[in-house]
Amino acid sequence: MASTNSESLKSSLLEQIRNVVDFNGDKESALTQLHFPVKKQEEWKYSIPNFLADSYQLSSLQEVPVSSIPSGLPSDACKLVFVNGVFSSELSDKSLPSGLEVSFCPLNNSIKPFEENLFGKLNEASAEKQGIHLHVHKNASIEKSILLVHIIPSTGLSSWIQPSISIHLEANSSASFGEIWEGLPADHFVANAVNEIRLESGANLHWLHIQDGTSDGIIINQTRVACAANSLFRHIVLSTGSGFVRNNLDIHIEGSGAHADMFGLSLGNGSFHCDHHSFLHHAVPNTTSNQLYKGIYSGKSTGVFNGKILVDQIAQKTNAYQSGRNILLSPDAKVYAKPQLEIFADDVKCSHGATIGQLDEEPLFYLRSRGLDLATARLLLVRAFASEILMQINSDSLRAYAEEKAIRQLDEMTKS
Amino acid sequence: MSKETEILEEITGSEYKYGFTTDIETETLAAGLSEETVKFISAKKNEPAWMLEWRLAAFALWKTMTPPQWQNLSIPEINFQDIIYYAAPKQKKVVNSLDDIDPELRRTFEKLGISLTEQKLLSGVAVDAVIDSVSIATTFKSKLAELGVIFCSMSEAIENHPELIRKYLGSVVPVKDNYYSALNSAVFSDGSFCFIPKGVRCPMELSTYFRINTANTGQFERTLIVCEDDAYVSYLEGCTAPTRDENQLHAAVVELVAMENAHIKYSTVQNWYPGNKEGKGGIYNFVTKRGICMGDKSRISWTQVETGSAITWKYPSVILKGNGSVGEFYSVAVTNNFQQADTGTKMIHIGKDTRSRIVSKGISAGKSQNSYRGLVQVMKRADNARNFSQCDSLLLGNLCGAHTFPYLEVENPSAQVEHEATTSKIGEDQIFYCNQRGISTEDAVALIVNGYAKEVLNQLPMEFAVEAQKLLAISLEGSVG
Repeated sequence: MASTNSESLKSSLLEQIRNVVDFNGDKESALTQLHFPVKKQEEWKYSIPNFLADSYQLSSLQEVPVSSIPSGLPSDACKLVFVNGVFSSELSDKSLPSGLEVSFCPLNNSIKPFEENLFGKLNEASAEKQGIHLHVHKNASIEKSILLVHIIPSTGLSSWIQPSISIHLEANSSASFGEIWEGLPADHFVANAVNEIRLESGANLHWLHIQDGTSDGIIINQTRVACAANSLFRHIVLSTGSGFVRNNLDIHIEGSGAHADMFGLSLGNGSFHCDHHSFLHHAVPNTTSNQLYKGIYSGKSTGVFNGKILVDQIAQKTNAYQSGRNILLSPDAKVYAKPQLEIFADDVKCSHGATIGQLDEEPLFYLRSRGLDLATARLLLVRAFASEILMQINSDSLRAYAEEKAIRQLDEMTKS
Repeated sequence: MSKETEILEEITGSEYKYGFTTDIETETLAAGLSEETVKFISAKKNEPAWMLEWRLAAFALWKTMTPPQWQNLSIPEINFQDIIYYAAPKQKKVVNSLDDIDPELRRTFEKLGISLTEQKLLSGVAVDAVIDSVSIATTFKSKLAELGVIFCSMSEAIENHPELIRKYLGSVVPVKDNYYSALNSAVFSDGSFCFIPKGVRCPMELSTYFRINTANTGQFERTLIVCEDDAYVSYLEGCTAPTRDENQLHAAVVELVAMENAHIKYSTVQNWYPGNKEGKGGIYNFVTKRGICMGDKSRISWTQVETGSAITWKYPSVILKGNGSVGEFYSVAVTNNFQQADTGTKMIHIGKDTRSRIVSKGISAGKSQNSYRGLVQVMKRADNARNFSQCDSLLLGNLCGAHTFPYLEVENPSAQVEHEATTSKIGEDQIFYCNQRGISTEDAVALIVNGYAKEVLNQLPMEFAVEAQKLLAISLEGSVG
């Protein structure tokens, strides 16, 4: 199954993790049973990170100049900076908004992932030492957006980083987070991130995830969310660049009246490979969810959307909607979509749709007949297509930031 | 609401109508599978050496394979040594006219509503009747022969048309395709062969009726349909089995070849014994069906009404190789009690300007599980490919499940692929609307279910549409009429 190469990579990584933390037998045995994914595995069918290098340097906190923080970040937001996946209190804003607490604390892994994989387990192994915990107090309503800014300094080596972040929103609190991956190094790297998010009853969390991997890096992000009664979770992901991105987003709706929104926009160029794997679990009655993933692919890029909605037998009155829409702009771009429904309750309304196509001829003609050149007309149409996702971002400054990024990428893509 | 529940409970109380056994003398081979079994079957059918070699190669390959695990079904382990691989009704050596058929056998088919007496057939359907392992009669043979249409059992075809069989057998579903296709290739006992020569529009519907009669037998039939340029055929397939407590295996392979401008319409009403209310017994229906649109502008459509079988594992597919070819898949799958179905299609777009359409309607009741699994693949060179898929699921009762697993793989930017799926129950508002207009709840459920499946039922040839509607009525007893 697993090649000797990937086995030796696994043991070298484990060795390096052991130098930092000592982990117990349970973790050890779980790790020995798992391997790097192969194409035969259903969940990795379309996305094999087959350009994993032979060895990596497990990187940790190191000193970097303040200038390595990407410029142009919204100034009205509170910044928490992570260097090589480890929280840097030095670079982060000193004054935290009231109601928010930051502490070092391992992930407690209480939310079971839909798919157990080696990446997740490796992350857990080092989380004890590097994990960070963000806590939002009961009834706190944090106005300021909180940005989690990830920096990977260029070292000339292939680095492997493992950020582990857990977020806990107490009852009736509300917050808006932005997870920013950008300005990443040109060197090859692997970012193996795990987020664990727990929303207590009535909590409201808005999560914007920006991945701009303009490099030949591999980003593997696994976010697991548990939503209690009447909570509201909104996840928006903007993926651009030319590297390899795999996002596993698992949402468990565990309390009645809860709602989850999932939005994604992937703008692929070059050899970008972007895989959104979502798993939405409706475990109790009277819950709702809405998913919309859009992608525009150009160059030799590949888009994958794998969405699964699971409705338990007791989860009556579930209302779940899922949609994936994709546009292919170039002859070498590819899209693989696998929207799935698994329904065990009868009194539900669940639907999904997926489309793969190209820009409509008619609106293009309309715009050109009004004097717009082809490039401008195309740009206008793709911007309109993308804006449906971008307008879901609630903070004005964050939206402007994301929009600027998307437009720049679209410009690039439609030029060719 | 309680009335509705009652009706839904009635639905789960349906009975299987074709569960009788016919007491006829049969010649059976002892259970078990070995090279000897394969040789025995081949010898029994007086097959030429190349056919035996083909079978033995398939058997050798099968031994190295393992059953597929990816489906959303729980399949109890099957002991392939417990199955009887050959059972044939004993009858006179050569059947010259239909009058020579065992009257008991003929009564069986009359009971099933399949008439083997040609003069009685007003609708003009040519029938090939297969009981257990062998074909017992084919009607209208001579009339079809006048047009050059070959319609006969597979055994006869191997004997009389070896050049065609050698050319096409295994060309669409290779032996190694999957576990069950390899098994079928080794032990298939009979089936139908149909060849429509260039430019001929087959004047009547061709039909094969399959019946498993003997206990513990597995039915492994092989069907091959070849349509030359500009030819057309509409082919129907029906099946039933007696009520038994043990599970029986049915692993068929169907291959369709459509040359330039040819059109093959393949309709199935699958009504194998589904098992009783406790989920005991029933047929395991593991079937590989695939068609290839070889020539430009050819067209293959699959229509299936799946109401029977304890477990269904079936994906009638189309390889769209010719430019401008069209593939269609229309399916109604009904599961009740403890039935499980994992069914769907694959549309492989290879040629330019190819089109495919998928309409799948699942109805789950009782404690059944019903899955749609489909693949739409647009290859790099398939410019201007077009697909539309619609997969709806209707849940009757809160103990059943409905699942959808579509795969869309697009590697050409000019493709347009759309998929949509919904899952819901019969809306209280819909029932209320009907009630309000004086339609009883029971009739309303019937109306809604029928309307829901109509898009598919409309695709069936008239004779079959009636049967299919009746079947829906039996499967969802008391509510559909």
